Amino acid sequence: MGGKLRIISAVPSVNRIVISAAGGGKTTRVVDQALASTQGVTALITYTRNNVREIQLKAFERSPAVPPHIEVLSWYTFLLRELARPYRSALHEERIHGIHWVEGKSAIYSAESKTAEHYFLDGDRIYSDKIAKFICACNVASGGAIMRRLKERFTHIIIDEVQDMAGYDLDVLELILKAEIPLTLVGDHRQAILSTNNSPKNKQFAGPAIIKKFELWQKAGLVGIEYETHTYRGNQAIADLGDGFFPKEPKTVSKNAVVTGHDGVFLVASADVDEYVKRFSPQALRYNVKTPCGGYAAMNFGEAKGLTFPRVLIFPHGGAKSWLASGKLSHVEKSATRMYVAATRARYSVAFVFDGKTCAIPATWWKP
Amino acid sequence: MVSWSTRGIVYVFIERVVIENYRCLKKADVTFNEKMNVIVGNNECGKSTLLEAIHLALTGQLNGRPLAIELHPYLFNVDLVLEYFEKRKQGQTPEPPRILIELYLANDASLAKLKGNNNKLGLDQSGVSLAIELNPALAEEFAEYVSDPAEIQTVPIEYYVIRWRSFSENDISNAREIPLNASLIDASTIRNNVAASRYIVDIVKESLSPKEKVDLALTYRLMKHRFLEQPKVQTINDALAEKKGKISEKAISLSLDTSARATWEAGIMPHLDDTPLPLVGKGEQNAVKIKLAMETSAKSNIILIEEAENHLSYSSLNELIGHIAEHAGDRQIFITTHSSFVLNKLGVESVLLFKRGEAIRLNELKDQTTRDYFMKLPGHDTLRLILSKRSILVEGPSDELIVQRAYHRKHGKMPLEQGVDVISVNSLAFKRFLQIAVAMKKEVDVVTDNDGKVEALKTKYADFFNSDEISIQYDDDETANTLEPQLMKKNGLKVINAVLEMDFADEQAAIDHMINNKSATALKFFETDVGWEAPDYIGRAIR
Repeated sequence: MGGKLRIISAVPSVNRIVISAAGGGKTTRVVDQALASTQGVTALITYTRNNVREIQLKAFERSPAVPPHIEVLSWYTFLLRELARPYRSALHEERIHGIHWVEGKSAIYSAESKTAEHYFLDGDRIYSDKIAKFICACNVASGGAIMRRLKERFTHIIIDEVQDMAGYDLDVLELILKAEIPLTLVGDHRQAILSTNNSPKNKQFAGPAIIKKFELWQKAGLVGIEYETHTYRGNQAIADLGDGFFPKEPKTVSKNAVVTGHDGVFLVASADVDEYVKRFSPQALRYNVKTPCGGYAAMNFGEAKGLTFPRVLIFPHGGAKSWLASGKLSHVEKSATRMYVAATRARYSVAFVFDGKTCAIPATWWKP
Repeated sequence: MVSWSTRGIVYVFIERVVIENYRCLKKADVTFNEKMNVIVGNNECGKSTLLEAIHLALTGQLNGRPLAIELHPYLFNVDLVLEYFEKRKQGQTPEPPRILIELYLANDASLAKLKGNNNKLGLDQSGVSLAIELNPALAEEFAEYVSDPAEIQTVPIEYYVIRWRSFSENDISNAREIPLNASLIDASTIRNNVAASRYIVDIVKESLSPKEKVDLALTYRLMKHRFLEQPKVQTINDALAEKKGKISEKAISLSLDTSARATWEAGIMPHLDDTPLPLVGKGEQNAVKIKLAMETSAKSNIILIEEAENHLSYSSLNELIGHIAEHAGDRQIFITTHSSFVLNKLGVESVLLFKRGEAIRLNELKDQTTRDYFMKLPGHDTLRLILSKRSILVEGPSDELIVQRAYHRKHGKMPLEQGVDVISVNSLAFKRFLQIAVAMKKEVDVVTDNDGKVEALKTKYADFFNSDEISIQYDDDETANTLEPQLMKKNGLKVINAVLEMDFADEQAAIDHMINNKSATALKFFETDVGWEAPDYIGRAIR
């Protein structure tokens, strides 16, 4: 046989990372995949309790109750119940009663060797930013018992919203990958807004940079990365707008061809906002609470994650205004994930409130 | 691997149980057989408590109700509680009483949820643990309560908390989180007829599909409505309606309770061959319950049966035990018994000899030949040794008669009446019995002739001279080598002649006669009214 010699891994990894564009029906697919499995128990894990709820609701659409071979867990419940507790005695004397939530960094002056102080508040509540670190250390101390148990426990682990993983969470994922427990990670690094913790560990992979970690895993043969580039939500113009914030990523293809007569990306002058709202009833979105939005009940970009609206009206913050005017992504570098989320919420139209004279992005001026 | 459609039937079993301070079991650590476990032991040895503890840790229920409701101070081991308060009186600071029941389950992927090493033995295994311990939130109140130990002698359970957890240290809030189903069949707890029917109905209910249950409920309600439509009932109701105003301002009528309270379960009485169950004999009821539980609890992996022989005739028992053996399937069965018959029928290899928290399995006896010996031996004599409070092993039927009678002369009662069993054992089997006795910590006296070779005897029993349980009783005098010269030595010719109703001129002639007529002589000693004394070594055994 002719052709080029290609080096492929002898045994393709059963582990997958699926990068799914906004509106790609990711949650639906995750649930379907779990329901389809007939062997053993599948864990469906997601970051927040709201996500857990969302997954349960999706499951109810297909089955009257979440079947017993699927366990829907939040990330922290998973860490605590399935990983931290069973073999904690290898490192710590007391039962781990629960998690103590910390915003920043916990017990920064305690040495790692002083297990009780370093990881725990009052000896029995583990700091949220260190639970994953504890698990990694405990797995070593117990001779790998944690991962051995996990392999028996679940035949498949699916983790949704994987882009929110940070710090030692990534090390836990790596342990699972290396333990050869079939793992499917689903997410979209372009929507990496939340973060499971603020540990300095793995800082270089924080936010959208998590994709670099995924690529390293792929290189090491631990996992294969797939892109789901379809969206069922926004039309092509909206999909293109979102893609604009991450020019290096594969382009999204819209499967929404519905025409309403007001479709695509628009610019609305402040003076015309009242009339625009009256005419189209869009959902107002803002960067955060400090963004002025003329008294309209607006939702923060971050809160809108996972949601779908027919139309949105975005009140841009300073950086976004500069980006609209110049088209330079450097103005929205730090808010790229939030801008991507805001831009990809609508099915039919995205409008920016904009009073600039020139606009560098493909958008139509709207006049009453 | 278990697919979800068949979940619920998981072929798993209890490998081991560790108990601390639960009722009479101050400490117990028992390893079980995978399928059949026949638990034998004295009365009061904790057999029932063992079953109760297993059932409690699997279901969270005691006497059919949640433990939280049934919690009472006497669940705590009496000795431990006494010890605790005694120590406090002496100004010590002992650990507050705590109950612990741990079930170690065979490792199976379907039980991985319960896996971890948070257990007393530190084993990486699936399992559940149930602890009743001081609630740390109420530690101060507890301290105040026990501050005057002269006043109180019971555990203040108000300050206690029940912790039911897996070995992975996650809380268990519902028995369904443990994918093992247990049925406890204890006829003795069902004291009245209502409870008996209820019990059967519950078991029947388990076997019905949801549709059958709905059908039954609807039919029952329909039947009640039909009752009202009967012309005679209507006539009565019409007559009652005319009385309106005389008794009450409202119309009175007869009806049947169709509220949710009056469900079919309450209105239905199980029948056995057309006889209402409460009117069937107790033994039969018991047998039915056991069979029903085995038939219907397809989902039960664990069946605990308390004294199956209760109230049953021999032939019924034979049939029932046959049924249990036949239908056990892949389930793990625990059955307590006093009946050597049950034991023989279910196989000696499944026997657990249980005594206050310690158990040995015959199939675990270290000495292979001893094991084989008991596996082959009809279980009766073994069981006698196990079931007695104390045993005296003798060398033959003559010795047995002499010892029995000597015992009666001393205590005014036959030994068996006082839980002392005199067992006649083939001399080769002595050591085998003694090995079991040591393992079971059974008090045993061996009454033996010295056969004129004291040194040989000492060699033979060398392993047992330092044992706490075993006493080897013999006489040092090599000239009195067997029972007969020993009797002569103790009583003299006059007494012996009186007992034998003979007139021997010298001791040797009498001894020769006794040896040549061993059985007849023993009977004479057994039946005579003449006062005779047992040789000293026998005297020590019948103390």
